[in-house]
Amino acid sequence: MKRSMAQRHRSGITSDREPGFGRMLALSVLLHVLTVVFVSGVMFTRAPVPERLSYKVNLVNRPVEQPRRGHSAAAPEKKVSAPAPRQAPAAAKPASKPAPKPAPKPAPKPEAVPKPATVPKPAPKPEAVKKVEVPAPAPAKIKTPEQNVTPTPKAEVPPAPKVAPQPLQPMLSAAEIERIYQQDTHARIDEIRRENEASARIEQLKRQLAAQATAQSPTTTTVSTETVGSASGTGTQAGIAFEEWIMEYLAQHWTLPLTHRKKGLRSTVVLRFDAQGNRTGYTMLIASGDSLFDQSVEQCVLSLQTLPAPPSKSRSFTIIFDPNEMLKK
Amino acid sequence: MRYTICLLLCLVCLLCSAGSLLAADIVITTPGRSAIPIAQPTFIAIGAADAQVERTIDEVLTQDLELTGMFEFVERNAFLDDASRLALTTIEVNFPQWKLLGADLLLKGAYTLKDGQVELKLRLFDVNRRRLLTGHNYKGSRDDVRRMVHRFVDQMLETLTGTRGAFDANIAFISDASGHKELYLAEFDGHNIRRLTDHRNLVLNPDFSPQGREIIFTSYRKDNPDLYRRSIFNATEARISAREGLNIAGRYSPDGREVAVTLSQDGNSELYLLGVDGKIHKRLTNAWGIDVDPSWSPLGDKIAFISNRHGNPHVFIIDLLTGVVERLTRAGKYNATPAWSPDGEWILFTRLEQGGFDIYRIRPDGSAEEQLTAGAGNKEHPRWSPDGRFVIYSDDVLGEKRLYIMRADGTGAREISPLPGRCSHPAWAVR
Repeated sequence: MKRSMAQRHRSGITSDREPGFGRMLALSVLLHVLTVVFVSGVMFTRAPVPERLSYKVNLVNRPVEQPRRGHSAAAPEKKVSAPAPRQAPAAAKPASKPAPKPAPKPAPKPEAVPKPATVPKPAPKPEAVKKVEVPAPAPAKIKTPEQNVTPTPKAEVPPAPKVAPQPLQPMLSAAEIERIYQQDTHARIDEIRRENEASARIEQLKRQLAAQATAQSPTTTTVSTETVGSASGTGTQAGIAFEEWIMEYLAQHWTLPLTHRKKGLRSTVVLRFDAQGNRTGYTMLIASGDSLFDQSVEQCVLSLQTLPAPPSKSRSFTIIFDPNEMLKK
Repeated sequence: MRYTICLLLCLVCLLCSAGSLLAADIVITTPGRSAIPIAQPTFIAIGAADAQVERTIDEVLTQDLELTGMFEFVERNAFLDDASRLALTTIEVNFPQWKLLGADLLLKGAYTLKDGQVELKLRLFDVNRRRLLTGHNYKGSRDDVRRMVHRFVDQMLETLTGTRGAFDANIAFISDASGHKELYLAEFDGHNIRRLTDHRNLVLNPDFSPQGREIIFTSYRKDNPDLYRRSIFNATEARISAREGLNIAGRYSPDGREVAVTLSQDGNSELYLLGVDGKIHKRLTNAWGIDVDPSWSPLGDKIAFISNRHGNPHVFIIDLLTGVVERLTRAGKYNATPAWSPDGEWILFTRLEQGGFDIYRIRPDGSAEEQLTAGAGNKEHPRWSPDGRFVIYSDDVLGEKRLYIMRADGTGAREISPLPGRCSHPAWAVR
């Protein structure tokens, strides 16, 4: 190719293109394209702010640099052993309902649970009642099958005060009072048991419905609601993105009177934090021009002094306060 | 070639960084709270205390701040010891205490009684930034305490919003307390009432001059609805238009040099521009229908008015430069008394629906019409406060006509009391 061009040149035939013209042309085109992309990307994308996903973030979750994929509003993950002591006393009441749901219940009562599971009904009953040692055991007893309810009526403190007025009738003997007391107590126990069974059934149905909804929802198929993370997370750390945390925090601490929510007001602030998560400063990049609006924005960013977790390096965030979306009718 | 590659790499890096910058934007669209928490401890007496003065200060401050709808008061029971200390400087105030209580603003003050005079010191602090936002000392008689507090709240609103409040300004209204409908003057909250006219006949439609020194109104004193002009500070009064027929609904232009008024000297109600001496400068309308109730735009280039030239009474706008008239409202069968807001954003008007008048507002371009009041009674003659924050109007929901005040968005309506007799046709003066 080179030779033929040189030959043509020597033979007096002029070439249409300079040597390397193709490369230069390609470079020129590439540069033009990049320039257009750059200018349109940087200068014009800000005008129409793209629709943002609205997050509901649980501020309990700590922000991390590389959040994993998950749900930002999910409750923080708990260690399995932690809830055990806390739920022990609470287990007395609702114990009967969760019976069909073995997962949460057994954990709180490590000692008692194995017994009901392995031993026949009568055995665990007295033990459970003794262990509680408080008037509350009534529900605990209900946890066991119905016929076992009868042996522990005295533990039913709540009905006692209701029956108390009965002795005022002088014509009733002690035996009759006792009989009425027993009848009322038994009736009350039955009633409580029925209520508990009904509510347990309702709870169970609710859980089933929730499970079905979670399984069927197209929006949650890829994101586990159990996992603490960011919807757009690609990292491996459990936690939410700093941006999500800051957005939720500032939204909660932004005070703007209803009488002052007007269309067209918008401010942009840059917030800077050092590597320890302390706010090092802020800059009002674009003020709205409205005194109260801008002050409310400044008060809001001032309320965030420290990030709940240190970022790996000093960081700055550009924050746009723009209530216009909310004012759309 | 190397140079080109370097250039390309730089461009790519720049694009990437620009992209990451854009992605870092956090957009907050919904404010979590709608009222600024403010702590306002009882004012401290320097020397002899006076329960009446303290009560008045508290009452007026609470009333004015509540009326704005911008603040929520921090519970006084939670106050710590700084509330009872005479600390009026940023060095003395214990800001952490107030921050602990969740206050963003702190309003502190003290008063001194000396020789029948009250000296009032008021300070507004920014708790988060630990700085004084505004502070003033006032001195006057005990009767002036209310005005001192009104004035400070006005100052406070200016500091916070850039627009001065209008609490320290009078309102004019018509009342029949004397047996005749006469013109009265009072503070916006109904205190310090005084009667201006004694025409012993029907007086209507007052309007303040932009400087707030004069007032024009219509009176049947001579058995014809004539236009009068009166000084507020003395009893000087002049009848500036006594033409045959109606001389009603006079409204000062924003520069105070002209008055738009409805005259019917030619047999039909038309709008005219008069000089403040009563001479006709210009006839504005010439249509077969009636044209009444003019209201100036804040720039003075347009006037909203009511006309039934298309059948039912509707709001129209006339451009004073071109003379072009445009229809503004299209709904309803009876619209009346337009009032252009001081910021030019809204036009109030009343509309008769289901047997009663209610107040509406609409943008001057005809968009965003919305109803501000509802319920029983006739809400009539709405007028703006000079700062555009409030609307004052008359309502007969309780049987007799009374004056009410509400925020510009229709919230926070309350009766202005205690005004004598049946009251109507309010107008709010510029300070």
